[in-house]
Amino acid sequence: MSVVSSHQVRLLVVDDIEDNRNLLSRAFGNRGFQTAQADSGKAALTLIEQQSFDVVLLDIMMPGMDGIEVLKRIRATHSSIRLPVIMVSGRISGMDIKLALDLGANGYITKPIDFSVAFALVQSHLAPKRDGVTPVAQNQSSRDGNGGLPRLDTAAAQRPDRLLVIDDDASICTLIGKLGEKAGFAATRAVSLEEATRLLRAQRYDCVTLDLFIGKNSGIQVLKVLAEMACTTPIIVISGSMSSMRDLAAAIGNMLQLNLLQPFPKPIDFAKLRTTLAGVKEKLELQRHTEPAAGDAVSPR
Amino acid sequence: MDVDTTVFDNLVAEIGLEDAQQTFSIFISETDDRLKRFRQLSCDKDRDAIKQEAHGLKGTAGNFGLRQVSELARKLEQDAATIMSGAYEATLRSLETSYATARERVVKLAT
Repeated sequence: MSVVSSHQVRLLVVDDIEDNRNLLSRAFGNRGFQTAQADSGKAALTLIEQQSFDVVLLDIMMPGMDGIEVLKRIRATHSSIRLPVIMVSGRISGMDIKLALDLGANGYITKPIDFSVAFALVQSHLAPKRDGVTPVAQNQSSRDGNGGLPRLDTAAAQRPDRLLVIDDDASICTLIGKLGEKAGFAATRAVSLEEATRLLRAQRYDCVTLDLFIGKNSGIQVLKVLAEMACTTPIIVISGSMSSMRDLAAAIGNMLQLNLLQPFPKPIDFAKLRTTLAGVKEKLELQRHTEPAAGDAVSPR
Repeated sequence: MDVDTTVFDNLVAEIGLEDAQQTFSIFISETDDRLKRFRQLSCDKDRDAIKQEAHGLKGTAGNFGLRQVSELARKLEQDAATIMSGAYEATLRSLETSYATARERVVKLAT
């Protein structure tokens, strides 16, 4: 994908809540976007009629004219290439996403917003506009002629060390992910037992942080899955609940083979957790140097 | 003290200003939604869900320095199995008031 310069890109942020508008405007403004704000669907349509924008971030849940109605009216006069519209909402059902996309939305961001995702999504829809190609063609050209499929990692040694962060609170998940990234990991986040199990079965991770109290104490279930896989990946258990820790202690008999590191209580000591993650990373690198053939480091036995 | 602002400073020291602001803004959005969900729950039939939400709020609020909110959430988690509707309503009001004050300060940090 070609990188689009964000200079002079005009972004319209539409949201009835001032704090939300300011947060988005600031995040994109910091990346060089020129931003404008509208506090209602009607105000947004007026601005779009009077001024030229390159992309719109459009909240769905607004009093009066909601984002879906605004989207319909935008699409009556602007194509999805001429004016990309990214929907923003706390709604996460597949039906809502499908409806917005069917009506011509270019993308969909759920709240709480991950700004790096929002920025990447906006960039991806600006690129085809600048290049004069459709988003589909642009996506295909970025996939290395591999029959439209993403390229698979063939050399484990070339991949970054992977950290899986399992926590059902998005803010904590993001926080730990960022600490992991600062320690040199590529972080993936899982916010449910199901997602964590699917990811763990699909891919090897080099370190896992696990909130014991996800859903109904299902962090223990994640440990059982890891034990079944005879996984030796270092696991950092995080919990704000002593009862969860007692459950862990009771269950630990069947999980002795797991590589459980010192657990962390909540509130998390940021510096200590980053140091621990950096220590794991250092060990992985040392292991890689001393056992080059092992390549993929820790993982299922 | 509603908010321990040293938490934000510590986070900036670890992950940088922009990432700290992003993380705090996610926390604000997540907590706004969580407080709305509390209002939709009934202490007659949703006790498990109340306990679960209170546990989550206790952890996240504590982690982002909202000590009073965290403490109120801890109490709600502890009482979730037996709390009556009047007390639940009063607890929610206290939580909302405490969070509203703290939120203002957190939004300033995150912007």
